[in-house]
Amino acid sequence: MREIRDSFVKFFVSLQLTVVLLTLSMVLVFTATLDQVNLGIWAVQEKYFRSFFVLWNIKGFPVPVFPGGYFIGGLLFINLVSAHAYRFKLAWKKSGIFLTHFGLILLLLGELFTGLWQKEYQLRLDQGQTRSYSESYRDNELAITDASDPKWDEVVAIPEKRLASGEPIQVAKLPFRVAIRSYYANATVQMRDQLPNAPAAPATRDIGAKLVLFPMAITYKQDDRNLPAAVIELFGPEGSLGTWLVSTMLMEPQIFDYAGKTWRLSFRFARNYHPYAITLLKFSHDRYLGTDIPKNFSSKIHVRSDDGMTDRDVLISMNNPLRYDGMTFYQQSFANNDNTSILQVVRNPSWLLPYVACILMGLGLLVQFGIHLFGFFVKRRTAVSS
Amino acid sequence: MEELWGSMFLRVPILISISVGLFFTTGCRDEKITTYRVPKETPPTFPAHESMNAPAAAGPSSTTDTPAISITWQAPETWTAKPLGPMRKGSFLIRGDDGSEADVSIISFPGAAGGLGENINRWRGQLKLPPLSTEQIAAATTEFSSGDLKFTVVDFVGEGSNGPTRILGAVLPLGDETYFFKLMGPDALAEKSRQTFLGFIKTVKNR
Repeated sequence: MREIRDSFVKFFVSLQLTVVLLTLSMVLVFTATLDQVNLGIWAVQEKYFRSFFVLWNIKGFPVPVFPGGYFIGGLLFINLVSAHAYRFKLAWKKSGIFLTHFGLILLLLGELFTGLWQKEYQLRLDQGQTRSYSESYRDNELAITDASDPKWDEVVAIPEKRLASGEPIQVAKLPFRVAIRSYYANATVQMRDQLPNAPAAPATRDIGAKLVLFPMAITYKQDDRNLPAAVIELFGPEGSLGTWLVSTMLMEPQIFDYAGKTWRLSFRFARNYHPYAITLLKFSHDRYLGTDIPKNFSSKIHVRSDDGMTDRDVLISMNNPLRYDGMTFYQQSFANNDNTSILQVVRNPSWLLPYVACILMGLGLLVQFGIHLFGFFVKRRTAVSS
Repeated sequence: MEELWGSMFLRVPILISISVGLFFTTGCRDEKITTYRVPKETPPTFPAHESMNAPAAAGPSSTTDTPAISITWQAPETWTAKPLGPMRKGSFLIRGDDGSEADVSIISFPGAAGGLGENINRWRGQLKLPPLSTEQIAAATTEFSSGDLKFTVVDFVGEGSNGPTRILGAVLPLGDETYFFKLMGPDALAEKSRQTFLGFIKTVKNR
């Protein structure tokens, strides 16, 4: 038993492991950079860095082919911490090295926490519009809403990944079961009567009976968005209620009545609801006088929390975000001839860690070189005086 | 190195089981179905004179806003914006002094969408007009350029459900898509709106 423990300790504290891991990470970064041409930055981050293994699809099965960022980073972290713990000797001469390494550990942890906890959303507001939710950039959801109550909506939000899995969905709040007949990661729809020789409609209910569905290649472009679609069939206790085509291209929800209630179906950007509402009072797009060159973009908004604790106006401009309730609201973009403001909403509880890590590493290097410099001066003075 | 790999035999099964565990625990993020209750949302109203899509000028950064649309336009003040239907990229209502109404729609299809001839004959079919041959279509259409965009413009009068009806249409092939701008309404109102419609087409710009 002792032998196993010793071999583990030696393995994890060894410098060879550090070298192997750093080499692996270089290969990983190089390969991921090349693959960015095919996948774009988001997919590369997920595939290579925010995963334990880089997976290849071989005949439909994901096969791990290389250690991912979490695996290499995690082992580097364990290697660094255990090496320090194993060889730790408290000495002033090494304080700089400790500080630098502690900074490095924080940096590794910061990236891990950012990967795990950071969420990015978008808040799109027309002037005068109020919203209490922001929307995901890339994730979509099928929202099945019980819209019977005149004041409230009861929403069941099913992530796109569940539709992609193809497995039937049963939720206690729904009086029917949802079966996924087909799913398309990217597809376009067209009206049947506007296409000569149109193929059969993919669904029997609502607008789906009048449309044609065309699957498209998945896009990995950074500025582009896939428009997923699915054909779903709903089953009540008495049998099938029909099939619906749900697509992110359809702006209007599809409405039907069942079990004495009115239901709405919509495939949309995944929503993140906040315990506060934000109203866009005014969006300003300032230009340099007499030119079309943009000078400043800003959104004057009003924040009103559900508990009544916050009720105030805030001006968000470039480099001046609003930090509120763990979220940061940045001025990101605008649309609609300057009538719509688009805010980037970021939740990153560990946003300070990289700053602290860099300060510690800088300080550590300064201290370490300072100690050497000081030693050098002392040595030279002694040599001169003798 | 010998020491390092020496007792690999003992470590391998443990490392593999840790790896497999990590592999499966990370595979199921963000797949939870959520249920919640929210106050009813009131649908936003669209101001009349705005295009429904993305910025034409340089913004603080690029936007993923309506990536399916690669053009912008400026609708006349007198047109009223309507909520977009499932297929429409833009939708407007024109009201005549006599209470008559015309509809303006902007839609896009990928590729050539069946070809120019098919689509022009589809419009003719909506006016109960017989289809035209390729040569006849070439004679019945006019080409119109605005900046680097080339439109094919048509003007047909036929029969609608409420008497003589006119379609003013413009087809714009752009990259992998074809855009269709169509004004359809009572002949008199559509004729009166002709210059406004052509002026509107001139505001269409590549994003």
